[in-house]
Amino acid sequence: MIARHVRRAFAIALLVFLASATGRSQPQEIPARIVSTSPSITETLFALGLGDRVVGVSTYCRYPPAVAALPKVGTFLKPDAETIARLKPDLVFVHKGPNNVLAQLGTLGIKTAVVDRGSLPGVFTTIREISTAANVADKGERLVSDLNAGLDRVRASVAGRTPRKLLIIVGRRTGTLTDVIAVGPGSYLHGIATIAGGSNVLASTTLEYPRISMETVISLAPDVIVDVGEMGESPADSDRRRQITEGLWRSQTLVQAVRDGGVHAVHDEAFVVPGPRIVEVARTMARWLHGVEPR
Amino acid sequence: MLMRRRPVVAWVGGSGLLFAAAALLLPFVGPSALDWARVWQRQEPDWSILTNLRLSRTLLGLFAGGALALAGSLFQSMLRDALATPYTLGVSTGASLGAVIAIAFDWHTVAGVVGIWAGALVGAGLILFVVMGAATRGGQLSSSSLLLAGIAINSVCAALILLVHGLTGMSQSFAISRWLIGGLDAIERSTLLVYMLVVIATGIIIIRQGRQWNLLAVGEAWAATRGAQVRRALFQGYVAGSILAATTVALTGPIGFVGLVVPHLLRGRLGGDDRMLMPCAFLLGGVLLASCDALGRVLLAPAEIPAGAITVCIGGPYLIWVIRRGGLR
Repeated sequence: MIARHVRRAFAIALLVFLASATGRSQPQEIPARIVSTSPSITETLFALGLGDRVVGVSTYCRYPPAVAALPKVGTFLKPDAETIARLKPDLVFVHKGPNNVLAQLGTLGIKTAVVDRGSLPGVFTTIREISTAANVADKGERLVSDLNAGLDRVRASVAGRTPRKLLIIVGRRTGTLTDVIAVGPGSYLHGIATIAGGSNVLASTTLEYPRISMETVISLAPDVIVDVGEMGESPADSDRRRQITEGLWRSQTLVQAVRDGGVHAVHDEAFVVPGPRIVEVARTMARWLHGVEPR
Repeated sequence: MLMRRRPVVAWVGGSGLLFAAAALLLPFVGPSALDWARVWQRQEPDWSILTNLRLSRTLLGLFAGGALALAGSLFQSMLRDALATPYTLGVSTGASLGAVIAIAFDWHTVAGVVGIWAGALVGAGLILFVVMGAATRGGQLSSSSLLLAGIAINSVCAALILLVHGLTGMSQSFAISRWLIGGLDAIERSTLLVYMLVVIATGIIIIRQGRQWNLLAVGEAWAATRGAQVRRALFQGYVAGSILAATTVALTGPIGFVGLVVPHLLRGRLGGDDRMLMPCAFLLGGVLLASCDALGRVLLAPAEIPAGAITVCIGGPYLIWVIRRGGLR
């Protein structure tokens, strides 16, 4: 009786070993046709050198410029399963969201990978998740290592300096300075601001993106305000919006940053896309906060 | 119809006192502590925070809440529909569509006016004519045709908002989503003054015709036998209510609940006489919205909670409590 159990256990162990050995010997192919459903995924895929395999991107993807010619598959909140299916992808990257696209793609037999989104550590997690799913894990580790080195250089450039009070605005009512949505703790811009020698004036709030009033802007007295509230569709459009935004702020003379010339209207989408351009964003912030030019 | 004078004076006077008290006290509620010595000596920024930002916001809340509650009670009487709100007849959704188009096409300013406000007013004006045209048949206008035309146009505008929203870029899409939540914020003194004058003038016109709304609330045929000019009354009521709703939506975005529930809660206490109900609805609707906004400013300070969310969180359970007690008519 016991001998029969031992024989059965041995047979199972042998099968498991053979299966794993066979699995290991199979070459891990890089997917030939990849679909991205968000700007951060697209930027990560291109940074991993997989740009030529991307066959579809989200409506909001604009960087790198090569994506302009690619088919659009909806937004990261609501990717269109039918459009994705027509592209015959080998792998589709999606964020967790309030939609049933995962189930729809599963029904169609399309392979998907769900990736993280939001915080600064999430940028690195996303890179690892994408590179692992696309079978280029080594490239992912190299990219993570490069980005960490870049952020360390920014950190070093502001080391020893007193952190400056910073307010980052990511949304407001068009053409006004009302209904202001700012960056609180936990968000990816908060993390980058800390590295660049900034002290987020809303670090003590409990919300990731709190709505604040102009009274709060005045009373928090930030040294620097970064306004990402309006993003242009093109460089010329962005420049026009930047001028309008700066004009709106000029009238707010009770705000410390306005008096000190510390308001920066941003027209670069890198500020709102948590992806591989984080070092670029950190460098810009360090320049605005401390006037340094990190390598 | 005669009203007993004492309850009228008591209710309207009491509501007026509450309104005045809110205007005086709520500016002292805010996310940051004011230095009273600096306020007294008119030193900045404390002086401007109190007199420009908080006072402006409180007055906007008082008049916006008042305008929505008054428009709600007017439409409920005029259309004899307990579920009528300032948004029922399409004009507010037209205003929202105009504002959403202004955001999508990036109209920062139009003829010196903030693009969203201009877009909302133009949208509301156009829809007002469309609804009026659709509801009028053979020169006749009835509350049922107005209601049906309003609901139809409302749906079309809501669909167009979704369409425009879906076609915009990320930044505009975010701005539209935020605008559709609605909320109060400080606005320029000159804009606030114009808005208050419009609300006061329109409010007086509506409240002065309280007897007419009482007659329409019973029925159009019955109102006609009592000497009411039904077509003219419906036209006036629709235009006046739309002006209140459209100007409010232009400045605050859509804020729900106040226009639906305040008239119902008051009707439970005061009865259905619009001559007393309407002034009280205006005054107490304003107090409710401004108070909820003040609460939203401090609950998670320095973060804010939109006034509309607080209004529903407090008003909803209260309404259910009133219904359970049988206090709603």
